[in-house]
Amino acid sequence: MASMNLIKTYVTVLVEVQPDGRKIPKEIIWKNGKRFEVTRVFNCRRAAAMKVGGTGIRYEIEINGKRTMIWDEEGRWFVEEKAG
Amino acid sequence: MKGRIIALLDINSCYASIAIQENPALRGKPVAVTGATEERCGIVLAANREAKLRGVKTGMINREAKAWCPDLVQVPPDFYQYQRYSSIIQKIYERYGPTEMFSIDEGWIDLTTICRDVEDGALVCKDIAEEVMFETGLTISVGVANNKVTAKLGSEYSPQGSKHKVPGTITAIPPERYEEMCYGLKVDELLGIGSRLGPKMCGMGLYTIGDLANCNPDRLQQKFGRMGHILQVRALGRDTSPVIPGHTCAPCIKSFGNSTTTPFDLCRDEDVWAVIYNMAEAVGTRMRRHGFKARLVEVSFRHSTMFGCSRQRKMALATDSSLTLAKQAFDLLKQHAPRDYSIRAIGVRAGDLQPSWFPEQTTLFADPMKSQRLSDMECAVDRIRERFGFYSVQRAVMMTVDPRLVINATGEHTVHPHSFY
Repeated sequence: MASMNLIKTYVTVLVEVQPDGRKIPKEIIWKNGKRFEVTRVFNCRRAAAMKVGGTGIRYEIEINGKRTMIWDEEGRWFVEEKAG
Repeated sequence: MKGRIIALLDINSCYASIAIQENPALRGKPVAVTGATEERCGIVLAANREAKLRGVKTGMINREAKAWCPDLVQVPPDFYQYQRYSSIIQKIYERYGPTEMFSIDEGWIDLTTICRDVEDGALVCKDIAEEVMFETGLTISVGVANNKVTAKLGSEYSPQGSKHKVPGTITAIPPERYEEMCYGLKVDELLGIGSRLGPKMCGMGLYTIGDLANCNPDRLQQKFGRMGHILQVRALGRDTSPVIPGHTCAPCIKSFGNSTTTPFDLCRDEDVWAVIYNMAEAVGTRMRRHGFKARLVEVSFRHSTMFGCSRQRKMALATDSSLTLAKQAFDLLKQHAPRDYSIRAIGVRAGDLQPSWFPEQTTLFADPMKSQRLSDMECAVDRIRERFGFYSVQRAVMMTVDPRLVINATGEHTVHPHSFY
């Protein structure tokens, strides 16, 4: 699924589950094995992914000083990957 | 005194919209969710606005839909996603008030405690629609009124007389404007009046909701019994049925049915019997699982010419036996199908339900011991299948026909939206 050079890419995520059930993504492991630490979680709420499709709990996070988003779709996590 | 404020929220072109939200590359294209042509289930289940504007209609066969719209994009159904999105949207509705889901894509919310009047309800529904769009990417049409039935009329309202309602429209029908907005609508737009009652109403000279509202109640009582009164109350805009919170797409069960489109046209009694028995097995298993027996059996079939009909029979004693249901259904079909039949679809339904434990007066000629042995045998088969799978034990007749006719109808059945009652 793609829109404006973005594609839906499912990723490996290390998630910390709090005693109250809240999930906090801690690290994203890219398909080439590279690891990206999530330094901040700004907020999370359910949101549709209009550009790449689907819906899930969307986390606005910070990686390497840049703000980006990741979705938890019923236990599978995806991001909007720039194509090409 | 403030009346009730009820909203009916309807996901626009639900199946097609969900398919598009899951695959944004389809946005802007004419899209239809269709059954598989190669499995002879190839009809349009839902179409988006772009496809509808090009003449594609729900229920059309795929070939015809393609003829109307050659660049139609056909996608297969995905009921898991439809139920998932429906659950997500139901949770949004429940933030605002007691919610009752009428079907997978329609739900009522009772906004009485948070709104001043119907117009205020429309403003709140605008917020709800924005939340639905933000969280799911889907649009909803809304009707707001002082009762469920009028709210449903509002959700389908097209003031310009357009055949296709504009997605995302919110229509408020305040009580003082009900006659002005609704009396001129066709009578079959009223909830509870469809393809069967609509022509009967027209036959009585009742073409609009206003005609029904103003009709002599005795005429309606004579023709339709208690239902006539109920429908007139609805036409008058005075429905009082409550929004029942927690009601989902699977409310109290009124019947159990299974149907199938066969992989090839059936012309032999042996093949028809096997398919009916296959369907009756699924119906019987589900009845026993839920603890019901039925007094009514119905068989429906569709000929290869697309002619279809259904016939019912009341039984002397309630039963949950698949064999009994199958025999009754087969007998009905043989009585009513054309002599040289060529059947492409068969359904078996059991209705007039009662709990299994319900005491019953037996008949002089019944053999309760035989019935009990049959019941025990069928329960044993259910347990074997639960443990080892559907195909672990089969009726002998299933070994004598084309294996494509034998399907696990219990495991693969789909529940379709229920009726209002």
